[in-house]
Amino acid sequence: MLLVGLGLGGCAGLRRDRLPVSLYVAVGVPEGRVNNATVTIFRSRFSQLLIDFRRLHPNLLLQPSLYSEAQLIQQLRDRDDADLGPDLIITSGAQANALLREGLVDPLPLDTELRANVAPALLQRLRDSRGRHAGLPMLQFPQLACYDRTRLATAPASLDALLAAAAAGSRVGLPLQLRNLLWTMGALGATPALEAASQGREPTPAQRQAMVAWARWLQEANIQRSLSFYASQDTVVDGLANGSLDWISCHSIDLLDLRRRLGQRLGVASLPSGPQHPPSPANEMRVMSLGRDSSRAQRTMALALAHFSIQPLVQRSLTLETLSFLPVNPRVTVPVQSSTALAAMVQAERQALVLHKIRTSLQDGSQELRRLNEEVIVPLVFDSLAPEEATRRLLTIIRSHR
Amino acid sequence: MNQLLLKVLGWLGYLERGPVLLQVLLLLALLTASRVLQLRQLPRGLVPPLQALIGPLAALLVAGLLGLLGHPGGLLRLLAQLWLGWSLLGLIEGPLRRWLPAARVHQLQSRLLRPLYLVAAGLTLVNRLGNARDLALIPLGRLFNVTVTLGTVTTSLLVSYLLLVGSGPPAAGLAWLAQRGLGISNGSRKALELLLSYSVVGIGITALCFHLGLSSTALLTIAGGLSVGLGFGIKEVFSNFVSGLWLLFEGSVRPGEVLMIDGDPCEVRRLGLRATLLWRNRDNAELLIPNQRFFTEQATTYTASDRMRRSEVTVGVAHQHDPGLVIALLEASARTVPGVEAEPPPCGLLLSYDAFAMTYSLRFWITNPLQNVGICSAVNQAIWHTFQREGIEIPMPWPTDGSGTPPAGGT
Repeated sequence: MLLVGLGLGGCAGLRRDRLPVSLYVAVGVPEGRVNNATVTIFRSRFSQLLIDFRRLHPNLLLQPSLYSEAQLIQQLRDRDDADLGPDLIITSGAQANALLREGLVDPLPLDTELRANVAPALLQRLRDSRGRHAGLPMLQFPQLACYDRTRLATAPASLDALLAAAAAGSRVGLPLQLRNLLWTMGALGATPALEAASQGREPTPAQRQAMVAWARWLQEANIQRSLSFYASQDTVVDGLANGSLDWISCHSIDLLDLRRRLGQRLGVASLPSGPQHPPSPANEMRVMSLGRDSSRAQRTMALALAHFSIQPLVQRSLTLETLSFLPVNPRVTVPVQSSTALAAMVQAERQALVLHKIRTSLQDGSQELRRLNEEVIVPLVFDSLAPEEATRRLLTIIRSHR
Repeated sequence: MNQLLLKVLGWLGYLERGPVLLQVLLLLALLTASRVLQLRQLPRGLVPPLQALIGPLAALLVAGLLGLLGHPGGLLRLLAQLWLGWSLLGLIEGPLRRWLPAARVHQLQSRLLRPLYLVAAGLTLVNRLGNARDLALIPLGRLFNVTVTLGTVTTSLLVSYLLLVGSGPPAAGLAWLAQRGLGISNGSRKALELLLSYSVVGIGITALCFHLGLSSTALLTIAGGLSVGLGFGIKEVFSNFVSGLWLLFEGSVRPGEVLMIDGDPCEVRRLGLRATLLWRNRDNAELLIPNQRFFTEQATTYTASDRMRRSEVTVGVAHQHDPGLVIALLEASARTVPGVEAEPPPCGLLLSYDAFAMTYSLRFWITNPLQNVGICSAVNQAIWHTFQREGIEIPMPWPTDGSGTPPAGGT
């Protein structure tokens, strides 16, 4: 009786809000990146966030699982079917939108504090037609130019300079996917045609002509001996890291890996501009979405972590410690003077505004993007499709998927 | 290892969710009830494999009811499906026995189907609790400067097991094809089957080592360590293994061969890694004899170049009978016995003049050495009947009381 009494007394001594809470987190990473390096990077980044969060919530037990983005939806569907879905899903903005459409995440309950701590343009990218938000932006990964400083003294500032560098023997690598080539569309003034098509309008002759010029530029770029198109972003990143390429378009998510492999040789800059227009980089963001199977304690903890991760101090310290992404909190001022990489990222953030109206229709892994790559970009670059026909097909596909 | 433990223990956190806890408790209750029913063999009239289906079907029903009532029932449904799959494995045993011998079916179930099902079910469950691919990345330690992860260890164990267990049927198929194509004997087919199986296992394990990331230097180091081990601890095992391989190549001991072991003909059933399994007809015993014995000791075989055995019975006949007639009768008797070959023909011989009888020998050929005792018995019976019919006496020495009179009852 004494033992039972002591046991019950001990249980009563535990405060309800101090009971351990297991938080299951599913993390979507690009295809082919579910490996030891990604796990290490994720753990190091997340542990920085958790050290401070555990001071407030020492009862948190975090259980992360990494998934390839291509399989995330199916895996979440399977886990949801067994009522074992994660409490938090960290993935790209495009995928978060897809998860909300599929009913695999709960809409984010936005309060004034959250609204104040996230840039409205980023929140807008996660809003569906019913006004629901697919998740909370955590970090931004701008698209940049990465180069080998021992091979190129300075990064080409314009497309002409890039082609001139290639003509002079610098090896340039570009991924053969529309999403990763969107920046060239902005530089050549072709985004108005894209925007018109994504809104169901017919582009003006001038807008269409700009897109034909962009298609022709892509085709002519492939003729350059030292400029090559590659199957994936991973391939070009590996090419730069192992010395077979000198200049590539990259995302800031790649910087940690590239810094580790290239060290001081890595140069980071903004993407090249066109004759009259700046580039339109397709920046990525990491988003926290809420799972559907959480207990009340798990949901409370998940929301607490989401709130905590966008606090100005947390965002600032994460940005400065990694120099690999930008904060989503508009109240955080990024010290661009301290790092060229940060300066390039901030510039990319500004340049990307032009794509905000059309981004949601070009989501990574979507059927639309797959069709655009297979039916337009690949045949265009390999010269089996004329620029005029490529433009017609591209605009038709975008309008049909609106 | 700590990471793995934390991950696995962390799955207990799902029990914080009320619906998950409820479904786990329901499943445990159904498992207990099903076990009790099975122990009491209820409901009566159902064969055990069908009784085993009641539990998982009830679990599926409960999961469906939970869904109808608006409660989550996905976990219970998943676990019930896995349980049902396991029970169905018991049901396919009957149909399989129509095609395969019972021992082979049991082997297939216990060594291949059930272990594979457990692995598949385990992976399914892990994928619902987390991500198996992510779990596979957990490092367990370093071996020859290579990080060994849970995934590589699991894959290696699984592939090794499959190679050991699963290489048999394909090797048997190839050996069968070779027999059909090249016309080799049954013994050679079985030898070829074993050699193919060993080759696949050997190549597979070497490939696995490279898959693990072990360099050729590391493999040489392992080989060096093994050679020391062979010199001390496992010398006999290795000696038996090499002896087995040598015997296969030489073709002197193959499955199907008949060897004389301690005076009894025994058929070779299986040539194993360490020992050879033989079957003794006399008492249906199976003998496990280390391969080394056949390698180092003399052995008598009746099946090295053909399966013919020359057999012999001896009989004593009274002195008054014509030896030519007796020999003709002996040879004629042998020819009437099934199993005695007509060619070469049976041969009768007069061996000696003894005190009470003339000793004759009848030699004849048989094609199945294992049936020697039975055929000899039949030949002896045929001789007795022939001699009775023809009035040939088989004299017997009688014990006497010293006066030369046979005891009462003698003839």
